[in-house]
Amino acid sequence: MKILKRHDVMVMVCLLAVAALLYFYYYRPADNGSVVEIDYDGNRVAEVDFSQLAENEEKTFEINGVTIKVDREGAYFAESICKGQVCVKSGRVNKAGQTVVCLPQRVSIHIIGGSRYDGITG
Amino acid sequence: MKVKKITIYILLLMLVFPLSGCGEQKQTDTFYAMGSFVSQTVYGADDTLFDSVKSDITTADEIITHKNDNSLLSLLNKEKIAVFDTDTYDMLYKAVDFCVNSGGIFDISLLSVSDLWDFESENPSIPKEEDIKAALQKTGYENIQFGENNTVTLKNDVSLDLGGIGKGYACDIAVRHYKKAEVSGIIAVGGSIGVNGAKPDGEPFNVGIRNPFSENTSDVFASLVLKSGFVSTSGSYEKCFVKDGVLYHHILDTKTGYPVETDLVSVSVVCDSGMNSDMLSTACFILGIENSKPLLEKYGAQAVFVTKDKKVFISEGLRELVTVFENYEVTYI
Repeated sequence: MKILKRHDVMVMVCLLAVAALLYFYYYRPADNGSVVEIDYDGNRVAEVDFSQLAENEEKTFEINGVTIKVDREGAYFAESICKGQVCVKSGRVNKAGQTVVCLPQRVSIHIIGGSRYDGITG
Repeated sequence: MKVKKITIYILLLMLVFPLSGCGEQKQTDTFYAMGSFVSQTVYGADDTLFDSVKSDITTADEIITHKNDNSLLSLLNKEKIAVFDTDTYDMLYKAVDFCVNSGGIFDISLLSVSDLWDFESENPSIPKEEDIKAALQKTGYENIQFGENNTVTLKNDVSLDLGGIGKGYACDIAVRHYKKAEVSGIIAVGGSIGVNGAKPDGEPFNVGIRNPFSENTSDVFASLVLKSGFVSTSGSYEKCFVKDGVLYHHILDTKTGYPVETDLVSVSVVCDSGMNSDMLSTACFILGIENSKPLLEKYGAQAVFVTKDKKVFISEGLRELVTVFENYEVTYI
C-alpha cells in the first residue's frame, strides 16, 4: 500500500523548491560585488551598479569635500580634503562587504552583498 | 500510514520555516559616534532597536568626549569637579580600577600630554621635551577621586581623555540592547566589535582582523570566530606620523610621554566586556607579549599579537577560533 499519493508528492516537491529558493535568497555565498552604496552622514546619496558601466565610463561624485570615482572595476576615494587621507590610501573596493570610510568628512562607500566578514577589527 | 505521511509533512515544514527567516530579517544601520563610523547588523529586531542603540551611544558620546567644550567630561576637565549619571560614574570607576590593575601603564588622565602631540591635526609634530615633562606633571590616575552622589573630582590639574575606552563602551551599550531584545547582532564602532548570539543559520559571526601592514582598511590577515563577546584592536598604524624615518604613533608611554617603543604593530583582545577589550588592547600593546599575560588572565581575555617582523602570537584559548591567512609565522602562547 502506498503511503503517498500523487498530490502529496507534488506538494512536497513544491515545499522543497520553496526551501531551496529561500536558502539561496538568505544564505547565498559571498561573491565579487557589483553595486556600491555611497552614503553621507549615514544617509544614502547614490547607489551604482558598476558592472553595468561601459569599459571607459567613469562616474564622479563630489560630496562634502571628497571625490568618489566609480568605474567598471569598482569604487574609490580619488580625493579628500581630510587630514589623514586614510580613505584615499585605502584604494579601490569591489568585493562584497568591503567598506571604506572618510571619517572626518562622514562619507562612506560600501559594496553590497554577502561578505566573509561580519565586521573588521583594527 | 497517516501518521507517517504527517511526519514527512512536518519534517518538510521544519526545513522551510527556519529558512524563511520568520522574524529573522537582517537589518543594518550606520551612523557616526565616538569619533568613529558605527555599523550595526541585527536579525529579527523591531524598528525601535536601532533608534534606542543610536540614541544611547550618541548620548554617551556627548557626555564623555573631550573634543566638545560643552560635554560633561570637558566640564570636569575645566572645573575639576562634576556630577555624572550613574552609568558614566560607574564606567569612570571601572576605568580607574583598570589603570590600577595595569600598574599605571594605561592611564585615562593623559590629556595634557596627548594634546601636545595632537596626532589628529593636519601637521602633527614632535613636542618640545620640556613641554612633555611639564605636561606629565599634570597626569596620574591617582588624582581622580570618586565622591558621594556620583561626584568626580580631579586633583593636581589632571585632565581626562577617554579615547581608549569610548568605542568599547559603545559596544557594551549596543550588546546590552541586543540581549534585552533577545536578538542576535553585531556592532562595529571603529575597530571595536561587540557580538550577541549567532546568525539565524546557527553560524557564529566572523570578524576579520585588519592587516597592520596594509593601508587598505578592508585588508585582513586573519579571521576570528566570535560567538558572543567583544574584540578591540590597538595598532601603531593609526594616528601616526613619520619624522626623519622614525614612526611616531598615538599610544603613549605614561612615564615618558613619548610613543611606546615596541616590536608590536597590533594587538587584538577578545573578552566579555567591550570596555575591557578596548583598554586591554592598548595596555597589552604597551606591555608586550610576555608582560601582558597576567593582565589578560585577570580579565579572562585572549589576544592576538602581531610583531614588526610579521610574527603572530595567539593565546591558546583562541587556537580554534583564529585563522591566519597570510604567510605569517604563528606561535600559540
